[in-house]
Amino acid sequence: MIPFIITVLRRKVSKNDNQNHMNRLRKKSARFVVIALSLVLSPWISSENVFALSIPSANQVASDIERRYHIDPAVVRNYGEGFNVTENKGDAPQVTIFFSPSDPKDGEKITAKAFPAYFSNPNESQLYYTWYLKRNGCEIGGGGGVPDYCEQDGRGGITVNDWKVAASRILVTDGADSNGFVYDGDTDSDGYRAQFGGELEVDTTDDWCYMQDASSGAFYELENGCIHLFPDTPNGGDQVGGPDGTFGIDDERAWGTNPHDPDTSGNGNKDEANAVGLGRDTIKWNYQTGDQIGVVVEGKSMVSTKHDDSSMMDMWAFSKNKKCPIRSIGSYTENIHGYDVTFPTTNLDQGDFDDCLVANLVDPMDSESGSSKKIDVSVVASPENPVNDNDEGIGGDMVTASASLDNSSKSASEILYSWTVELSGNPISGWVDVTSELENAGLLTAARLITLPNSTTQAISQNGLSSIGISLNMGDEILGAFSNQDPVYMRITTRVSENYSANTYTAVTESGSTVANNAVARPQGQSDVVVKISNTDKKIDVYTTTATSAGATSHVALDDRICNLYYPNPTSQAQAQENLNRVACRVLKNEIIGVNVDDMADYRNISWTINGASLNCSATLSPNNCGAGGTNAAGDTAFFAVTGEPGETYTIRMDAVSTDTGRAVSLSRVFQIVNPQILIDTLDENALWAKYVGTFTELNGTRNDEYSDEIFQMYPGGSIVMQATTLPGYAAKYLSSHAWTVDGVAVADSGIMQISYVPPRETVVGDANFVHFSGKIVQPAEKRLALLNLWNIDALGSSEVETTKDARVETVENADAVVVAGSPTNRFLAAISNYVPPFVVFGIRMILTSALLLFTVGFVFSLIPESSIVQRENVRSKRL
Amino acid sequence: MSAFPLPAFNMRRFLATGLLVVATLVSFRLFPTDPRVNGSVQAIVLGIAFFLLLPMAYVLVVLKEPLPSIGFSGSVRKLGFLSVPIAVVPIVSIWYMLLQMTDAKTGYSLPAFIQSSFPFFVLYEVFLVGTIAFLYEVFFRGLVMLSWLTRSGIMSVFLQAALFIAFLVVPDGFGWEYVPMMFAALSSGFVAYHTRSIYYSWFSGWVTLFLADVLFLLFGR
Repeated sequence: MIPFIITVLRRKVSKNDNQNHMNRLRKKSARFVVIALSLVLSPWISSENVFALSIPSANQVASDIERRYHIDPAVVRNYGEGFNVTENKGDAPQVTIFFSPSDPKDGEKITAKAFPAYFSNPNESQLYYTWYLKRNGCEIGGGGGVPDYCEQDGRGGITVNDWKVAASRILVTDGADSNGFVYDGDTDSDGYRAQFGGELEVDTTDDWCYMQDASSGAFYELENGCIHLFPDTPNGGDQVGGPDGTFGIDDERAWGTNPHDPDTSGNGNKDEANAVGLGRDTIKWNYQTGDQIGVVVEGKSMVSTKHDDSSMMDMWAFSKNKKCPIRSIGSYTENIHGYDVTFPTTNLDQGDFDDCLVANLVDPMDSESGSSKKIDVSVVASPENPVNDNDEGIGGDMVTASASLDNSSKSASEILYSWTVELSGNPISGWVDVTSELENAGLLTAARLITLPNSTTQAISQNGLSSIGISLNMGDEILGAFSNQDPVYMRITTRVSENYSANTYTAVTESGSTVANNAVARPQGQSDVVVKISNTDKKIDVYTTTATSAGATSHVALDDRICNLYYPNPTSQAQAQENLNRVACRVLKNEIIGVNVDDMADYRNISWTINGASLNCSATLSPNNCGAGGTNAAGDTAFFAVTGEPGETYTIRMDAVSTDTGRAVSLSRVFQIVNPQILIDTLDENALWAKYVGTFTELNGTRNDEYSDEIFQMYPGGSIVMQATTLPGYAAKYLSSHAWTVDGVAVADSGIMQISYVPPRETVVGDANFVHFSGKIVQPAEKRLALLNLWNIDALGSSEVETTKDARVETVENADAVVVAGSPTNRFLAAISNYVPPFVVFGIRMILTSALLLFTVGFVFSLIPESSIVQRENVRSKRL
Repeated sequence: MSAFPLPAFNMRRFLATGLLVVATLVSFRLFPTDPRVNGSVQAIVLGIAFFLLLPMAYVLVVLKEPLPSIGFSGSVRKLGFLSVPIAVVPIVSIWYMLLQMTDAKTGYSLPAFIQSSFPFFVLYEVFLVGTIAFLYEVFFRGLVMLSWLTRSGIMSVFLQAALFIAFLVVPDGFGWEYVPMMFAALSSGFVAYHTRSIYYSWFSGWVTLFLADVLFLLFGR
């Protein structure tokens, strides 16, 4: 239409070049624009659905972002509120002291190690660790009864400085005897000038010392500038690390360091650097009951100041992380970048800091700060009501016991776990150790069997063995006196200990060596759990059901047995999934399930419960299985409708009393409601195989290969041979229809839910074929009617379910074959066509459209002759 | 009245530019979206291509004119900065009255995370609103008004605004969320007409949208 109009106009212009014609032409052009706009806009007005893209509006885009990322306004509001007080949430530096050993004996060498956190100094060795050691009886102030060794700085009375000096002397001399040093002059040049905020490679900014208020979280600047908390040199000397940077003969004598050796302690630091605690995160001393120690760590915090420079707050971390009380609060204002910035200040003096240091003294025997002697262990076991298979010895449950530790700082590999298993006929006493019998029978998690120290008890023991599995296939040889008892109680006990000796952890190795004789194992902990086990050859069998209905009356009956298969060495996804049914039998929603215990003629008082609620079966429900003239013993069968939602579980329990022995028997079975699923697997592993995705390492170190259940591989030119199975397996009989497609092309079954398909174009390396399976699961109308009549479940709730499964088949290179298929270019293009992201496709289409528009307009522009320019200037513009 | 003389009428230029304007708007509306890519991302990317790059390419390649012919010029600073408040203040005042007297309070909305967080609000206004406003400036004020309808004098302001409003309202129907954009089209149209620069008109349009949101947050909730 538009080119046609332009052509007409062009002819007209060429014929008429006078002013009147051009005026008419202008009017016609205006009309043309109106007509063109009307034509273009008409479909918009007629139908809203024509348009594919909304005009970009900032509001809509932001709303789209909000919807797309599920931004909860309340959460955003919380974020905003949190943002307002972020300033008070800064992480002030902290330090924690760990002691080794954690329960030292008098005279024993104890090591205290400080672990600082939230400092911004690149290396922890750049921090200043000011230790202070309060020996037993060295209380502040002192008095007549204070031991002589408390007075360390020679200034009279006991102060915090005495404690600092006591600790610093240890760091500076490392136990060296000063009597062997000759104080005839100082030749070692071992002075050190301390910087504020720890040692920095380049000190480029001013120093600002801060203290955080423990309650409000606000940071206060020290009003009188930065200070250090280092010890003062004994006998009236100045504080170490002073600006003079010298450590003269008097200092050497006062500290007991060698004036001719710049590094008396031999740790690489100069003597004065050791006195200020540069990088000294560890201190050792001979412990005496009542000793207490503390450390204050000086460094650059991770909180930046508001000053117009690169400074971070210089702060201290105290050993108990008790912050000094803020007092004498003030403030000052500084104009920064044109704004008045207020700096809150506090006026803390040396006395305030001393009080703070006293409050942060740590007792190595105090479990809050040091390591606890006792490890809190808890053990849990699952499942709740396991069954032991004393008959065939293959169908018993697997009991898993797991231990968790609450207060151990060690990693799992540094914890020694020792497990014992005992049996009894009651849950309180009479326990018989069967650990070795279980281990010898291969029913325990593989581990080393040891005899526990100072005991005859045997246990399986290994570092990091935090859980064990016990296969309940115990025969008479293990059950012994309990073989005829039901239930049987199993007590699973774990003993844990942290292993170290002389600071070296000792592990139980794979080769079987156990805890070394010289190893001291502590702290320790112990816990156990008692599991009630049904010990019987009876089992709850599970069945699908059939239903018959006549009007408003329905009956159900047992049909096919399910959840009864077990594959010791599964070779397919379906078999592996089937094995999981032993833990919890998977059933579909709105299914009617029947449960039965075989051969119950010698039992009475049979009762069934479902999740604790009574479950009854009558002739009305099932004349065949529950009626007087039925095929089953009275009460050995029950039915229930699965009315919950996927993910929920049912526990069916049956209790009965033996008429022969009078003993009670209790059985249980767990059911889990699942959505129907489809599994796709290969039919021929030589032609098509699941893609290898890696390995999974079990707790006992066993490595298992892992394969994808959605990605398969084949060689070039191969055929896609697959089969589909349902999960749960019995859902297959409800599949009313199903269909396969490969790359969108329908493929007919080659067997029951199987395909054998050769792609029309021979596949080459890099190709990917997409397989899609869809099926419709529909319950029989009779069963839906029975659900309505017997359980009042509406037919809408038991309607059909569509289920699908996708898989991808990659063509990979066959290293054994001669490569003849396709040129590299074709393979490259084939790979690209499969993997081009959608936004790239969108971009290419957009670029092509833009280019086409530009070309079209340019082409039309070139068609209209230059002579059409008929008006140079209009009258109005001339007036202007 | 514009301080600039009207250019000579050029039929060939008029027809080709009109064709480009119509074809671009139609193409934008009918451009097939890809459901696998976020719709807003597609709209913005397509907007950049069609409303910014395409007009620039057209002027440079087809018309062989410099970019100032569609307003990429900021030489009249005094006039530019003077005209912005003159155009914005009345328009924003009308929006304020609408907020007080009509359903605009309930009809207009801002995403919750914009309303709740000041940093998000700033990012939204500066980057999102600013970017989209610029796209419309180049196309509707630059190409449509200063290049295509330039001979229509002061009427070009209303014609481009009408085209813009039609583009907004006709497909999706009227919504209060469009009203600030409609006002911005008028205010920036006046500025562009007087300055022949889309820089000042962009600033004017952005200020209009920004103040509209601020007034909504202050008085509309």
